[in-house]
Amino acid sequence: MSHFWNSRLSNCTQYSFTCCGFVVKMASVSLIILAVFACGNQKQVKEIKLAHSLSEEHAVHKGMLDFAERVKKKSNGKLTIGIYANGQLGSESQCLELLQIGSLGITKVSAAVMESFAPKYKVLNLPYIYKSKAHRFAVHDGPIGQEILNSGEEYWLKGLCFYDAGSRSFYTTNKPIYNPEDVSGLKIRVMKSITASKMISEMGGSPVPISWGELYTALQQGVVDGAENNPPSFYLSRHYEIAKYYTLDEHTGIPDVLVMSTIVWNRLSEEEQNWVKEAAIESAPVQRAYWNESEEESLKAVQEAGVEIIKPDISDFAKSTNSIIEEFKDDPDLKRLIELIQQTDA
Amino acid sequence: MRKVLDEINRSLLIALSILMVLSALLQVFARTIDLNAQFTEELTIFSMMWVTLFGSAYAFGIKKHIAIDILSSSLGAENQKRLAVFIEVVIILFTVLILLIGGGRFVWITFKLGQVSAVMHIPKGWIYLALPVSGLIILFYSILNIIDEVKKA
Repeated sequence: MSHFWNSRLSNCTQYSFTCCGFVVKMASVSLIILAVFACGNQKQVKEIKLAHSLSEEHAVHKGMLDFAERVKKKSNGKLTIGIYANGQLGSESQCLELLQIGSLGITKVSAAVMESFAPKYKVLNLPYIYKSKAHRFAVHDGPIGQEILNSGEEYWLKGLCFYDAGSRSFYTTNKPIYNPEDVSGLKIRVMKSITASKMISEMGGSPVPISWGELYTALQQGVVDGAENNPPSFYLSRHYEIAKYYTLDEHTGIPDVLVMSTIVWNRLSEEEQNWVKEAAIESAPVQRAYWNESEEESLKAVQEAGVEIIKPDISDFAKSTNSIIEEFKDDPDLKRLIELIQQTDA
Repeated sequence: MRKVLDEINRSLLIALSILMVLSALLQVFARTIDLNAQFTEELTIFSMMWVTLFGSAYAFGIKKHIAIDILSSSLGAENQKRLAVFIEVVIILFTVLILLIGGGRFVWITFKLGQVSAVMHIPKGWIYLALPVSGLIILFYSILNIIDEVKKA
């Protein structure tokens, strides 16, 4: 390529030096322009944009770096993934809309956000739907996970793989939570989701929707008594500076999803599609290892900062929210999925 | 014609602004009196989107948008008129391409794929409908402005 470019360029300069006529100069200029365009057309490297809203230190970002590396290796550099972190290209639901209109290739969103786009994702976000970590992975890696990933295609959002986002637990400022009864009367911050607020109501607490960015001050000023999230988020958000009790009740295991625009997907050749799909699947276990590492580090760090880690009896918590799962069984499609998940062996 | 549209637009804007303020207030109260009013956040955002888009359409109608008039004030009467028509044509181009075609396509996709809002579960297409609808209003005002400009002579 570079040889081609050089030869064209030197030819042009030669011309304009030997005969200094205006016309020839113009011709040489247009030749240069032609050369540039010719190069543009012959460009062999295809780039797919990947946008997400996490910071670059996050374990899930590291998983995506691994994904990009694998795509590059498989394609011998012919297909690359450009990662745009920190929400540069918009929030999670904005990125999904960009996928639907085909302006963005791939994004990473929480399965909670996917709910509003593809309803089958709801079952993954129910409280205590997973019996254990191993069960959670079995569900995500198994046929149910695949069915849910594929269900997005109808909405022009093709799921590539699940990334682990741990499980979410309560943290409180003044009153520690040892059993579900302790939640009653507490104001707990929840995500913008019906399921999340129902869960808190079932336990007797009052759910307060507050945006993640405002939560630090809200905890500090006592607008809420607590919140819930996974250990790395609890640590990275510095909420542990105010919330001194962390109850590992592990109520939900909402995964992250790598989603691709079907419009961009269909533009790829079959070979390229395979590279992307394989790389995504292979990057999932790598990401899980990163996540484990960061979870352990975070728990250690918050403990050192004086946070009391409480390990309650999880089955009590599970019982108190059982009615929510029953409620979702009203929908026959979701009922089938929920039953399949409950039958899956860890 | 223009007066009717102005009137409709104005009352809609007033109603939406009141709705926006009330739902924001309700959210603040809900936090202190233990009431779960999750819908307020979405309602505030959505009414703000509508206020912004319809407000800017209204501003086109009464010609209250920010304008830098160095060029126009240095021109003669005839050229000023030509410039005014040219500006309206540019506005029409923008409106048709971005708001009507782009916005319309976006609304169509959102309806087709059935995206709903996270809390209130209303189809997002209804919310994004503000784009092509405000586009129509701007288009209408721009045409009226051109007619006025031509008649002035």
